[in-house]
Amino acid sequence: MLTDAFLHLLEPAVLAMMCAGVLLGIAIGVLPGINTGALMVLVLPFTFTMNSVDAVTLLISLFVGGVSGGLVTATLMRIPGEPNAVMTCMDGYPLAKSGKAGRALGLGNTASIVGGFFSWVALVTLTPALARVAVVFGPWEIFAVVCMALTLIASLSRGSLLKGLISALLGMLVAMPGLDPASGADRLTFGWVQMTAGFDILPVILGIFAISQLLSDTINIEEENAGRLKVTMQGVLISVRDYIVHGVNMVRSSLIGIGIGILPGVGATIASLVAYTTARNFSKEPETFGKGSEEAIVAAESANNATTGGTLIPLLALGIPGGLADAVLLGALMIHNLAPGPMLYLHSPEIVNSIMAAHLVAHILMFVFMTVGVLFFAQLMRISRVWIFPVVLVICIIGAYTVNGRMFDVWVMLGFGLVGYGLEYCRVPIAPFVVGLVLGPLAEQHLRTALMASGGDVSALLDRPIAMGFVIVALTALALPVFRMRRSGARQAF
Amino acid sequence: MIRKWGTTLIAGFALGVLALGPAAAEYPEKPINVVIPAGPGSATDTNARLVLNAIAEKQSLGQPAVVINVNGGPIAATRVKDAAPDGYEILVYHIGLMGTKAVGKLDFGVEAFEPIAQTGSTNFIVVVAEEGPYADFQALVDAARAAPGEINEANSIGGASHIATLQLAAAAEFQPRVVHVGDGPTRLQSVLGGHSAYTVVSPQEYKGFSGTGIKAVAVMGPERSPDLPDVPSTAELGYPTEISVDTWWFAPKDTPAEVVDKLAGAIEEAMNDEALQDSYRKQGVAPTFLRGEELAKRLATVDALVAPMGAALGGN
Repeated sequence: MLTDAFLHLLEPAVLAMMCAGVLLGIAIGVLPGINTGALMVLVLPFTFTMNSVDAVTLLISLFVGGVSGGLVTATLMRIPGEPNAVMTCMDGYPLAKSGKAGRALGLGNTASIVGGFFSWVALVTLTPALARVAVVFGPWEIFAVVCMALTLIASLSRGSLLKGLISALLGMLVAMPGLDPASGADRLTFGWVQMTAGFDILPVILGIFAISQLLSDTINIEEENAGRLKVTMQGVLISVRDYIVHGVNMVRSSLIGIGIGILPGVGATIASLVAYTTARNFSKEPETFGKGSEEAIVAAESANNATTGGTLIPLLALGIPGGLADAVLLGALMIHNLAPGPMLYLHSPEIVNSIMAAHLVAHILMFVFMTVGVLFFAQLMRISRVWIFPVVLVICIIGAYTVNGRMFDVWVMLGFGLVGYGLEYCRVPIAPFVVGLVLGPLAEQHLRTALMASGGDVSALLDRPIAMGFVIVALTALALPVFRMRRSGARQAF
Repeated sequence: MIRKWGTTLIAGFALGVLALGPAAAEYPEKPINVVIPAGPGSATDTNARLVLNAIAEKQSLGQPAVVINVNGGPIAATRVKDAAPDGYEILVYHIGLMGTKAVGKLDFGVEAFEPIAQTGSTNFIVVVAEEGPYADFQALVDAARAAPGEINEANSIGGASHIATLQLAAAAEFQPRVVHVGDGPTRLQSVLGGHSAYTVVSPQEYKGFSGTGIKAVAVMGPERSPDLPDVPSTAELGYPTEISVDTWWFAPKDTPAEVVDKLAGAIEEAMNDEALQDSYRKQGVAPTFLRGEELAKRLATVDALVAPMGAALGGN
């Protein structure tokens, strides 16, 4: 029974272990570069000697803490602590910079727990049904979903559409070198063995966001310090009114997060990206996005936490890991001789129940720790950046190095720091770059798999109603801004 | 706060260094880097870590091992090949090393290393959809022979599974349409969703999916798997295959023989551990251990099998 599982988690020893797990997860989430999956791998050997229920409980605690911690660094320094906090940087940082650090963190934190809660409900009630959906989704369907997400680039381009497209295409270009996703051949590696795996996404994102930010802040160091003194702590706990104002957004973004979480290999970064742009399209004040919009923070953070439940669904129901963290969880289950899948429900329901219970309890613990932590973290804004920059730079370098244990990734990060600074200098938006970087390869891979399976026949897409549905939505999303532009253009003519 | 973490980190490093204790006179005098060309949680990673944990428990090396997960086989192999041959940088790899050389992505193969040991061997399992048109392996072979190039085989092109399926198709004399789908769980999902007719996966991956609507029709190799006593081996069906995924440990070329022996000894001791063998079997891995002559023979056999597959694996 689920209630038994909850009661077990409330035992002091288990609860203490969960607290430690969530705290450790948050700490790693806050630190840029070192990701949650890597932390879980480090902890994995310790779980071998535990009983299987405690082992999964601890891993889930780390997972939830890690996904949530990224928002702190994203908001306070515009450095994504975890890649999935990329979209939180876009608005969290401007808001914090305007003196509302407490408010920005409070909103993000609240959105996180709301997203986590909704995904928990989906996890408990819909797992068997939704797992079937994940199987029906073949390469054409995933390709169509990704195309739909790609069309969102159009709405992400602040200012010039041309600059947005340049940025997105640059992002795709950066994703090109490495292993050809279909033939396995080396592509654009220039015969250099370090390039055979392409650019790892983590050093690129750290470079584009963190290093470029350090550069531009260092150049304007005097002015930065002046703006930093007026930090108010108001708004860490958000009011009932906020829930009403942001309620629809929270629910919508959570659903997006759950839906994307279910699809294997798509992940939290893309979920927050899609939720962010969807929120922008629905917003009454889309022009505030990227300048400290509250809606944007809520959308990004609800969605990335909602994927935690989403990714567990195919893992539990079919044994398909949706991401690195799930792969580690899968490994832990296998070592305890538990094979995820429908059989797990029959043979070891206590494991399924404790995973579900731990998911909710970890979210609650995360919320408590983050609320207390936020009061403390926001004080960072008062410290002169002169002291913070060197430390952050060192942490970023360690983070990039640990990805593959080689200097190449550090140089990649520093190089993309210059690229990011250059883009900002030319007023080219960074968001579309990230979209191109993460979505481009996904679209390519699935399209090519689909074409290989159909023997190169593109019309096979027409036989797949779900995929066609997404394509139609994508085309509509593309047409809408053009239509709006025309209408406003017509109005101006009058 | 961040400054505090910095201090904690430094303190942590300092403690770590202290914990190593006084330097021993003989190898190993410092931690050993174990380079794994796959992500954390992958099969190679799990198998290697199980061995390393057992070694740490027995303290047979007296030094910790540091696992370095490197994304990409060629990068990992090059790193260890170019490392100093002193036994402080070793590689854990499998048949993929031969495959990477066969397609021409690396200009070296097993010959560039001193083999240390083999820890475990995994046979691929041929999997189809339960409700699909293939009752057994023979039905699949018949259908594939009748429609050359039209039956979709979910695969990871150029990878270990591709090497295995090439041998399978050659043994059973059929020509599938090879579709690059990705890792094991993704391939199973593709079969389950009806996007591909069949695939080959590890027993661990198969177990994770069993009960969802897939079934194993054959175990690739000379005999049945103790885990799946009802599934025939390809040999007994009349299609003998020899490809399995064995986990091998390598040191750079010219590493002194006593260093290689010391490592092989520690690994052998770990592999004799009952608990470790159990963990291996739980994952569907046969805990076979090889070193010295036997290992060299096995490597030569596999190398000879894979070398001519270059073009078929996507090389030029």
